[in-house]
Amino acid sequence: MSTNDQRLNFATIRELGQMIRSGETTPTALAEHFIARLESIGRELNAVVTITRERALREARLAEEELAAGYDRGPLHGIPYGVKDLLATAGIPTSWGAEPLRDQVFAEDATAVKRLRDAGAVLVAKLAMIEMAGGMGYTQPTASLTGPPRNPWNRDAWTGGSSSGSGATVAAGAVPFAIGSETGGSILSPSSYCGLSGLRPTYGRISRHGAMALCWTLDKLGPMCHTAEDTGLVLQALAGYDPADRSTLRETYQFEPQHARTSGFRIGVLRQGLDVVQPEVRDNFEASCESLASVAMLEDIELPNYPFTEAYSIILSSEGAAAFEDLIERGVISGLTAPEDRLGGYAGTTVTAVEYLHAMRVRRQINDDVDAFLSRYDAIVHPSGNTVASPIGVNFEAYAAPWSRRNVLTSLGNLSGFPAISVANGFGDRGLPTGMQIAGREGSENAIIAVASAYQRLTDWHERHPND
Amino acid sequence: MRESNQDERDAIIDARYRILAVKYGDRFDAAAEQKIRNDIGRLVDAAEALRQLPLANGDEPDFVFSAVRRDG
Repeated sequence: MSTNDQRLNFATIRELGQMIRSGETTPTALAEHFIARLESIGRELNAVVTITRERALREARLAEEELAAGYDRGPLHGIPYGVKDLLATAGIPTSWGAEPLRDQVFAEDATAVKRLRDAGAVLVAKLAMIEMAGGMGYTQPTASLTGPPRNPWNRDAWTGGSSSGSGATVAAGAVPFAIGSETGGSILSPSSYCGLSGLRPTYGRISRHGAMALCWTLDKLGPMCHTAEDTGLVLQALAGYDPADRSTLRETYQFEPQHARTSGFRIGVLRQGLDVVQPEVRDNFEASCESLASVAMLEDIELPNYPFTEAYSIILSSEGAAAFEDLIERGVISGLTAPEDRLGGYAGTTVTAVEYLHAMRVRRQINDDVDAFLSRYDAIVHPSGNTVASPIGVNFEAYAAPWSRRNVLTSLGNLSGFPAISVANGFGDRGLPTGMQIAGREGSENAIIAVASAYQRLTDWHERHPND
Repeated sequence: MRESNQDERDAIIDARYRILAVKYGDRFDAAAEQKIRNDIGRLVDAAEALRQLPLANGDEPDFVFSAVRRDG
């Protein structure tokens, strides 16, 4: 089996599962294949922190034995995956992407890693990320202990962040799926920039126990995959109440693609802000809407007018300052890679308690209104990012200056905690992918995955992959 | 922004920066000070924008405290 076997590199979770069960491959062979990919292209893209070979081969052998004995744990059994290096893994370093924390080791796996292990998935790597998940206010890609993350579609561009390694490795066919995290766009941005299907679930859907906390009321974990359906398969393994994370939802989540609608959707089209996106992003979005019109009734919408960016900013800055207070206090952040990150945590410590509470009171009003608004639609759609990925070595604010970096739906979605999935919808500047986000009200993951899957049946953007 | 508002904003930023300078001043050169002042200014502006939205006494924050009784 070649490490450049395109059939394996970009196979979906279902396809790999069928290959395992038909005897065409084995979990161990898959682990070896993807470890070889991580060692080569994964490293070239600065996308890997640690390859967990020993653990991977142990988990793969166990999967093989269980399947041979007729014990089938489901669709992820024997499938390799990687996690953003902010999820704790017992005895394996968890760097949070930060040079000063390179050797940080936790005693236990994060709940998400435990759940994937229980589902029979095989951990092959801890993946690169922007240091501290971007919580210190980085403004350019060279903000990671592994160097600037390179985009497999164009290695002179970055991947988006902060789940940079998760985006790069899935897009490059170096892992079949990866786990990322999002506080303000860190799943949707790299998924869009790398041409993936990336799901930011409802806040509280997946336990964050054992994940680095940047902002307790904004942080979410989620899957980054080749298809929308794959995100549902991974979400089902990850979702559920965890007493160790009191934000987790009590309701169970069941991915039920067999019962999903394939047409007849009611979709709100958010064109607000399209005047400040790159022309190719706008054109691809309009083309996507034309495709969706064959399976949905589309309606132009406008978001309620609230200061959600300001509320988000106050909440993120103050919770982040509290979460990292000891690192700020001890001067650990002065060892971060990006110069701007070494100073980015201080201002948040000056936000007053009253200002924070005020933001949280405004947030409640926004959330009540937004849910009433979203309840009228199966989904709403908008570009995932306003531009394609900026070049490495360039401040991304400067690259986006002719348009705007601020994506109205991403800001609101994170503040309100509703789910969204990004799907590839074409290519733009410098041959880089663009994405469309499909969002829905709290708890509507199955609806938005159904819309995304319908879109992927109508188009083939998700089947296009970069060359090595 | 009215001049008096601008003066008040500058004074608030200065006061907040001084707190940081007391604790960490030896870490900041002139460029660092300017960056931190700019960061503080953005947060002061954001807080001011939020104050423009009327809230009633009963409008609670978007989190709910819950009492816990642990086993044992």
